Amino acid sequence: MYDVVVIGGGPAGMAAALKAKEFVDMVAIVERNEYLGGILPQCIHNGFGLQYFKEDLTGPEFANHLVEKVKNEDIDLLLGEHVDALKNAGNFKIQLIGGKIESKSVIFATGAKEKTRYMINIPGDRPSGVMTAGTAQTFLDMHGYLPGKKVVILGSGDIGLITARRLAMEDAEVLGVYEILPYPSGLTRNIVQCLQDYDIPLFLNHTILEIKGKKRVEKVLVGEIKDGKLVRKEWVDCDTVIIAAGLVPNNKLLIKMGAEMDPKTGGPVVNEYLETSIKGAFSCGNSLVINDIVDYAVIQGEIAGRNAALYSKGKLGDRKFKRIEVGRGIKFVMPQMVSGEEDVELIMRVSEPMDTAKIRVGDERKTLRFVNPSTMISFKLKSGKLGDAKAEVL
Amino acid sequence: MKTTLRCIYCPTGCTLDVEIKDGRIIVKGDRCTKGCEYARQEVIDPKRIFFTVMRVEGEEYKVAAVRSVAPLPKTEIKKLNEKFAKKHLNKNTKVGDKIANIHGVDIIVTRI
Repeated sequence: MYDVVVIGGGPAGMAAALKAKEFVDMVAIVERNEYLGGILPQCIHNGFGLQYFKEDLTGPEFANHLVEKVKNEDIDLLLGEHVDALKNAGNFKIQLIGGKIESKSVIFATGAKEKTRYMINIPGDRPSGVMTAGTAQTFLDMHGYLPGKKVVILGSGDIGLITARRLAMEDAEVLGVYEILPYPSGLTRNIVQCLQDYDIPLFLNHTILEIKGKKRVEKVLVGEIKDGKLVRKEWVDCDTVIIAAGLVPNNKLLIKMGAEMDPKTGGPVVNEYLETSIKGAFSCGNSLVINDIVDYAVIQGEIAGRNAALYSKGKLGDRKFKRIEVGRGIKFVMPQMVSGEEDVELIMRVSEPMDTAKIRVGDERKTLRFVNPSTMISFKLKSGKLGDAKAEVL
Repeated sequence: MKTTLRCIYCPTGCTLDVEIKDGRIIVKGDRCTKGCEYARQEVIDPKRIFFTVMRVEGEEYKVAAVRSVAPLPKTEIKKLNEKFAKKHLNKNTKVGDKIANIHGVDIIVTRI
């Protein structure tokens, strides 16, 4: 019988297991790959860990810091595994390929998947050469193969920007990044060091209307959208289309178990313990909420790890939670359920770009300049300040 | 001379107003010392961390990842990438091994 079983061995899952291990003995990580680290090993660029490790690390280095710690602890690693069924019957009964295990608590750190061409509905032919940014990154930086020579990128998410730079470094011609929104969805530093450094144009208010090609991509129809109307279109010759349209949390298991989900985050509804509506089932990392940077995923992992361990010992407090009411100008707030008894860090995004955003949650206020929905906002809510539990932009 | 930069050091991405006056560089808008350092470097000689992948002897479908431990001149990054693409790493190389030194900056293995 385990105290805590973590599903997913990426950064959030490893952090959760390490923190849980500080409180209880029997901890396991179940991981689909044969190795730990999640997506980090293929993110060979720097810029990771400035908050958490106070060091400028590459993805593999960030992962290694955690992997070394996990391997030094007596944590069971069930690698190359797959959770076939998960039942909540007092304890959690987990059916794996390699057998059945049981645990007092479970942490879901199952990450996210990229939106594909078919999730954003691009019409046209179905030739080879259409792939997500993460797939292009796998080809290039895990296997050493250039996935295309004349590339168009749809969406300005960070993975797309990072991939654009790597392709340009390897002498592929990156014709442009096309973003349907009037602002980029990636971090500013990536607009500078990935696009501007390599003279890659960014086309805002643009999208791909159609893909043409018999065997391989031959051209795409690019359209400029203004006020919801198509104002211009043009065929662009290329051999590759990279989709960087964002991530969707992976929560198949939790949904199957009947956990309440938040349609705004794509993750489960959680309280400040990061516990889902299923008692003893916790969530962290990108399966909880799509994080801008890995450091946040790790911090969520630690919160979930600590609280899952306390739950397994019957020592998690029994608090009354209020549901945060998401008001004007706010896209979502996570955790969705807060007690007000303890200081809590709320993660939120605004619903539209704003020059000045006066954000209010309960009796706490914070003013931010130049925010848009792609900026993840951290809002510290002190104990006793929950008030009417409403979050809004004033 | 006045110019505006966006800091690339951390995800905050501060807007930096840089003014070069009588040979002095004045930086405004930085929220930490790293931002100020970045702006000064960026107007004198822009530098970036260099990273790429390298082939490993005897491996067909796997490449190793390498990085520079400190930033190198931005204008040399692409040339360096070409140079390292032609080399093969010994299969006994380990993570953390120094494999080259460019302008006094070590290139180390981050994944193999």
